[in-house]
Amino acid sequence: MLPFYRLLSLRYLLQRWDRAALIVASIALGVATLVSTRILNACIETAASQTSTPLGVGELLVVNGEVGILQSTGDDITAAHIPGVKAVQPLVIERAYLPKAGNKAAVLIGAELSQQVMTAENPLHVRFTRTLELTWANAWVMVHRQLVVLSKPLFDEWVAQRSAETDPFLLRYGTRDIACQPIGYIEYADDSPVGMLGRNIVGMEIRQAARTIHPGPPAAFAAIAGGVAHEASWDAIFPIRVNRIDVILEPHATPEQVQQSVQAVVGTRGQVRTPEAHYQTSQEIIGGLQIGFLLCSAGAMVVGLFLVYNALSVTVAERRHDIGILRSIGATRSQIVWLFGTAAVILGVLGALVGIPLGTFLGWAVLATYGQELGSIFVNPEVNPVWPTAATLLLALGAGVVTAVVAALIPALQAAGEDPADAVRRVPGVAGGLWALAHKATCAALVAGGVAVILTRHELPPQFGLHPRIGSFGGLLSALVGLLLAAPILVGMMVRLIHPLLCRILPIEARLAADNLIRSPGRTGVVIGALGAGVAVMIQTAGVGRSNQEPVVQWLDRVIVADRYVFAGNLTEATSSQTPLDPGIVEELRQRPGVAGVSGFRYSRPEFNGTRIMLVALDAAMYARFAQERSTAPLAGMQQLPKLGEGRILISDNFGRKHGVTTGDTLTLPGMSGAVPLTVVGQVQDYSWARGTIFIDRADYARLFHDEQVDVVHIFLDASSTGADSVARFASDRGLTVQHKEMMRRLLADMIDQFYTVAFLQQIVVGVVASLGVVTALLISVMQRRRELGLLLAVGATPAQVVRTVLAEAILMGLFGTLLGIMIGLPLEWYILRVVMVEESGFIFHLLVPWRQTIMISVGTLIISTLAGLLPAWHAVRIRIPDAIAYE
Amino acid sequence: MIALIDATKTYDQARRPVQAVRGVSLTVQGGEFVTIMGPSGSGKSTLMQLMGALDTPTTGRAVFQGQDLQELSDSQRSILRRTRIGFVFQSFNLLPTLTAAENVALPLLLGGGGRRESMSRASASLERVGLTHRAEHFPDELSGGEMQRVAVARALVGDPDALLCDEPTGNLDSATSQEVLSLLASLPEPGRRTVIMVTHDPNAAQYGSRLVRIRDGLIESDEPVVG
Repeated sequence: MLPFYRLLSLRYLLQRWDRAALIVASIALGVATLVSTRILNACIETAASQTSTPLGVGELLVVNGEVGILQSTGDDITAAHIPGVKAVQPLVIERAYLPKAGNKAAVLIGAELSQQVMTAENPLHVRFTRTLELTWANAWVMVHRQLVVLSKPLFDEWVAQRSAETDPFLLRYGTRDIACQPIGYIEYADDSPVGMLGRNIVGMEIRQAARTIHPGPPAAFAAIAGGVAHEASWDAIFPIRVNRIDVILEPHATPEQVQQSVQAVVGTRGQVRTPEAHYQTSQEIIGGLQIGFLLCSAGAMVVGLFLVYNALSVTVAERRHDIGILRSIGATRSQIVWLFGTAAVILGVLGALVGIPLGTFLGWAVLATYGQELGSIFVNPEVNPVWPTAATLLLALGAGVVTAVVAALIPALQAAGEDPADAVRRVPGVAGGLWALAHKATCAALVAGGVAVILTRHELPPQFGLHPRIGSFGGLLSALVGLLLAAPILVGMMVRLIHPLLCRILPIEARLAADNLIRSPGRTGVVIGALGAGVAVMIQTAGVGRSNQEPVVQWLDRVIVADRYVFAGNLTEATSSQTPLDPGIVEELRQRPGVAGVSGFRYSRPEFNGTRIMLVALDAAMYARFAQERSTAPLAGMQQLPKLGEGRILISDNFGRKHGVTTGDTLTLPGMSGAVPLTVVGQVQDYSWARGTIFIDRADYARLFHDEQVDVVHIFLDASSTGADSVARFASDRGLTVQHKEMMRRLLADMIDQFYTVAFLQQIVVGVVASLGVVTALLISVMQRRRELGLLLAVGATPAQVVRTVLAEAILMGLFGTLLGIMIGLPLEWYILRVVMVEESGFIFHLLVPWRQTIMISVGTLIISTLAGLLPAWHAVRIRIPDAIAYE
Repeated sequence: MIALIDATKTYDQARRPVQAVRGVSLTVQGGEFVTIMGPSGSGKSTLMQLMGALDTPTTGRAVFQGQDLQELSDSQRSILRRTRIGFVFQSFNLLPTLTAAENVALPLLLGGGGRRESMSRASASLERVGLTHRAEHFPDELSGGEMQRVAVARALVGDPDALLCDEPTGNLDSATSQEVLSLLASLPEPGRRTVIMVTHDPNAAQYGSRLVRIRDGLIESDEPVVG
């Protein structure tokens, strides 16, 4: 049977290569969106996973958010001799910088090197090579330098760059440069636990690493004191804090039992989790973004599906007579279904094969554009583009083929249902009442089902993994698909409604085009629906963007009130706490001439209510005083700032909504020595963090969370003209970045812009897919109107008039697609703003109609649909009149 | 061999029922060359479609070699058409994307035949209609007469028991018509292969052995062709 399918399917596709190319392009764009979002998701997921559980070698992790955990907790676990615990490994992992290598980022790993790196069978799977033996002759380095192990590329770079063998390896953390002495290097595979963190690794003994990050006040004192005896007493005053403690279990231990026992020892000092459970906290934050990406690719696939359906419907219509011949000479119905199925599979595979490299390129292009921002957020600064995995390739291939086959199903069944006698005699086909009924029922079921899922999203059974978020997005998708399917009905209604008007005002060519829309809503309706879907998502994205951007930019204008901002690295790194400054810098800046006031800001993300919230520590009284002076419209709640201290905090509006907390409530955050109770004394408008923000006085924060560092310093200058230069010189001397108010506003506004640009670009892909549909729909139209167009030419219509009638149909399709898109896009924008966003973030934004973008999108859609009509119009004027009007 | 027993066929045309065949009984024996004549709209094509299992009667029966066609499933009727009936249409009905040889081989390929064997039998069938030299040509490269001979070759490739021709010379000039009719007249095999031809051309009817006249869905006369 294969020769039969091969002969008919392949031959037809080759002869109708232009239509096949359109179908392949539709599938390819859908697949490309899927592949690119999978690549982006994979990169973000890998980075998030590395950030949440880097170097995960233990079956259990003892963690305490960004606050960290006391190293002594690990000693307590070891001392408890819990059955099933094989080893306890504390770990420090932080971002550091290399001042002698262009200040590039590296990952500082603090571990028990002798156990985790230097042994032959080490758990990190690295190969250690010692390059320096410590002897009495070089013992001085023990006192003056930190001993480190470097990754091989970094080691080679250092050896190549140093001018003398005695040159130290310089490491920068915050504003402190630390002289280090490499004693060897490590080599590892890219997919090893260390390899996941990139090529620039600096390994240090855990105690040294912990003291590098949290030296304790004043740092110099510890260095001068030196010596083991002093270290012990110093540790008692300022205990060593690590990021995580890994608990490695015996082979036959029961993790659940051990987890309970370890938790009993740890108490309120931290949480004992499996790596999977710990990863969920990061996943919760990136989950919304990932679902957004996946929805976008699903949208492109759905639009592609409808267009492939449309194109294959053309094929069925065009080959109806051939199908009749085949049936008359003995082809069974199933053979006809298989015939179209084979064509669909071929097209699906081709579409996937084109879409996979295109999607890979798109994914990489987005990463290249936003790599720096992403690298700033996560521990590993190298957010490298990844190749599509085997699973992604299979998914892409499957999606392409399934899309094509599903799209071909109805046309194939319709083709197989043809009465051979009718098909051979060219009796016009009539859509069965059953099909029409099934169509209406399916539309109603999808829309009603989607709405029902949305309304009952909070009652969905979580044991089946049905999160309310899945309900709100899944229900939305179902309702949109239902509306898209119902497009032929809606378009029919819309055209009928305005048809009398069109008849009065339009010339004959456009009237014929309008008649054609009414006559075949099934053909044009699907494409208008797809076009409408593209326009709807673009308008929704633009609308959500405007509704977010305008209030956020206004808010930024009200909160960016300091005259200068000083931080290390770039702004994203600073607000991600990747480049902390020494607290002493705040005091030094306060003493500079021309400086009236200074407030240090420290950002951290502790866990609260199953997610990570933002904790902002600031010099509350100082900031409140100057901010109120400078701000033309101070935010409500700012007047509460001076009340902060002694465990009193302010919360953001969205924090209150999302977590059900209000003024007067007491909440607890994880601290190093147990839970820290905090009392809410007010609420303030804030858009910093989608999971909610807490504002705390910096001195209070240092006392409660043992963290004195600062990420950004806000500086208020006095009336003299010396302050700006003075701050600039100070920053320049220390390699810090200084920005003024307007630049900060612009930087932040640009970051918001960039985010919506990515989303908007993805929607444009959907729009392009829909535009391809206009070409196929009009080609069908020309084919179906062949006789009518031939007749027009026969009775004296000029080719220009025929071109105009085809183009008029294209313009009308664009017009109705745009109208439909606006009708769906604006309610969609409302839903995203007032339902999805409120539930995701607690932010309440008022709906703003994106007038400018709507006009641009509408004009763009009309231009594209008109251009899409050119090829079919060219086909139309090439019709041979005798062929077109010939009777059987 | 083929029998219609009190067969009727009603179509819905613009929601109005139209009775194309109104209770026809007709039996055709193996080896006969039956021509069916009648004016346009008399129901002659419908009659042929009922006999060729392209369609089923609204009432009455259609029997092919003792098998009631209405008792067969759609697939069984497809297989019957593929293996035991050949069709020739007025408009040739060749697939434009296939060469002449491939068009002829189509029924064999549909039946699961291998390409090589199917093409070999198609060549033999084309040779029978004198078109070996046009085997690799596409339909739009052939003349009307050649296209109809390809259609005949396709109808014959499965060695059918019955050949049903619907106005096979309707689109041909008189010289070519005579060629095709002579070819068709050579095809009946006594006791086995039957040829049934629908036509409105009295000259074409003279090539048959029996002439059935039909008007308004009823048989008007049924008599042997003399001379």
